[in-house]
Amino acid sequence: MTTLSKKSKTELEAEMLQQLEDFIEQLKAGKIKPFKEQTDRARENLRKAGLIK
Amino acid sequence: MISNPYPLSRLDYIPDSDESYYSFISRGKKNILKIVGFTPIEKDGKKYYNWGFGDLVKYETTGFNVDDKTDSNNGDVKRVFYTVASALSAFFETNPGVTVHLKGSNQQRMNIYTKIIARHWADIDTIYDVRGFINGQIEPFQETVEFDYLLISKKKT
Repeated sequence: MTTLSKKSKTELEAEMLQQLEDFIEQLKAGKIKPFKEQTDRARENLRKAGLIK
Repeated sequence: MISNPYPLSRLDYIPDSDESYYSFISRGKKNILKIVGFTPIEKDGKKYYNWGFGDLVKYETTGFNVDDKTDSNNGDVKRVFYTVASALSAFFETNPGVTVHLKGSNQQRMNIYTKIIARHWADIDTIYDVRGFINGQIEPFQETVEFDYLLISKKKT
């Protein structure tokens, strides 16, 4: 888990910003698909409800 | 409706993507970076989106991703939920005609969402159309019903 509570606010913001940038880079590169399981389950839910094909 | 949410940032990362992501820092017992995501449900459609949120975590093998199952117990659940709700409002500003699917990672979370929606129902009902799936059918939102999932769209003004 991402926990940085002992660091100064400036360090914390910089480190979290870097984490976000790394996350975005991975998204751009197609290396990760956040919420994939949730989205797949949602697709199945809507199919069963007849809302999508 | 939204009382004191954390500051929210939109992540503009892929211009051609239908996915939308927002981030904020939960400042409870610890500081935790949270991600809110709206991901398209249909492969070739743009009507339905899943609304998910979780903690940004770093995995040894795959790097950063979002963990939507962990309960952070950070002491700020209401403020986190209000912030996540503010992301829904921001998402509907740019996607006014879509419907959002919401399902908690477990029934306890789903019940929390239902209770918070019920508590703010007078405000929510003026802006959003909220329906839920129960017993094989889509029904209008009722606070006493344990819905399997919720479908939320913005009312036309």
